[in-house]
Amino acid sequence: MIELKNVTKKYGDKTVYDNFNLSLDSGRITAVLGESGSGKTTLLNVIGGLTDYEGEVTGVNKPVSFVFQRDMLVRNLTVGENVRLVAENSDVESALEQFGLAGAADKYPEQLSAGMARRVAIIRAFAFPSDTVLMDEPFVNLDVALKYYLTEKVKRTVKSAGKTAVIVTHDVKEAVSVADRIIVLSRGKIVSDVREITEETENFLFNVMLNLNKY
Amino acid sequence: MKAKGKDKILNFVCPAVTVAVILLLWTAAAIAADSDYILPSVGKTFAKAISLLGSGEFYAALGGTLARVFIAFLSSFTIAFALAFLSYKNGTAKKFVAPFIRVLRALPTVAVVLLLLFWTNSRVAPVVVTMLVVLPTLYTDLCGAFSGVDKDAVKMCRAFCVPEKRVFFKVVLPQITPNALYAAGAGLSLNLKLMVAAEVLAQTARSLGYLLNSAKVYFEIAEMLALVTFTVLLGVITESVFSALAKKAGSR
Repeated sequence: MIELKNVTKKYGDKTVYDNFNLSLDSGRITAVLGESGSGKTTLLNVIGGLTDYEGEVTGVNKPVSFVFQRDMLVRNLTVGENVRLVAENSDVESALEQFGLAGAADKYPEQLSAGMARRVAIIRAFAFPSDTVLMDEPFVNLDVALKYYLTEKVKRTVKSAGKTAVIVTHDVKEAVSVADRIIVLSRGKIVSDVREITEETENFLFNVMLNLNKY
Repeated sequence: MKAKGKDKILNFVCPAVTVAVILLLWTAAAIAADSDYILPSVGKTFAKAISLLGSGEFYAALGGTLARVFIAFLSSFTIAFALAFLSYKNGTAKKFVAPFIRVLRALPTVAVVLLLLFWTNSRVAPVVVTMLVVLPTLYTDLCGAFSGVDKDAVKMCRAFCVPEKRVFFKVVLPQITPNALYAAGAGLSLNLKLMVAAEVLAQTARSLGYLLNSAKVYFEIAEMLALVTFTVLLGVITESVFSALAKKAGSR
């Protein structure tokens, strides 16, 4: 279990988290919803150790896997080399095939469409040997079909590998379709924590999101 | 495709026209001067250049100068690369390096050659002064190359804890190579010009500078012009080769 205990994070004068506490169950997918500036990306950076903070984070076996908002592929390396840069002994061909990118190993990032590049970023994260995957808006700006395909693919891969995943998103539907648990952040505080996803969850979360300024 | 073909033709024609204009102006000036002691004709200079190519003394001088250029360039490039890498990795280090580079940039070349002649000898002084004068330019160019490294890629590597050595050889080095090669070409060309000037001043034995000085003493203006032309050609060839290498490296 990943635990954040009394975490305080400031950027200059701006306090993002003030004595923030959160527990994340192992082997589950947690989606984090919230408006821009609510601290979603900072939460991932704190868990992944990419930023300094006060407080304690336990249960994270570092380094963890990341899918960043941008693809962050190395432009001078091929797709295969990009994956092997972080996961030297990974079976790139088979990973690419699983995500519908068979034969793309020798392509350079500039030769990929946005959707293909996103898939490579996700493949890289799953190829990396870690217990935890942190994903910052992994399906943003993708067409509906690809978004659906990747959501299912990510869900299955996380479950079959028994990883703990935290997915940051703006999209309520996406959160409902991918996660086992959904938390909503506003100004560095948890305003909603849904642990059972039901048919009503989507409507409930839409209401929470529409009323975020009241929290 | 047509535009590319036209570009290729223009790349060849434009420099050829420029060279032709220079030779035409030279010829006009030589006719106006009407004296080989002031400005010999293109033909006479060319004949002198051919005769130099048949002389063992010229090759010994060329070899000596090129060896010194190589040593000076290798030293300045190595130091500049190390300092630029240090500055790229550490902002505080950059602040320490900056005044050192500023001082080197302000060095009066001739005065330094004279001082170095007191402290060293006529073979070492040109190497040291050339190295010191080229170093700031190379450092600035290499800092520019390092600042062009994809910050997102480096951040990604840090997140995945990719070993520093692998990041350097797989990400940083390939990304700085094109600009570093451009810088090396320009640096080598500058190195050659400065070396010949320093050799003239230091009267270094077995050097192009020494031949230039001897030609000056005996009023061999055609030989001086031939030696200058060789120096210019060497500089142009060096820059062109490095520029082509940089383009090749930058194509991926």
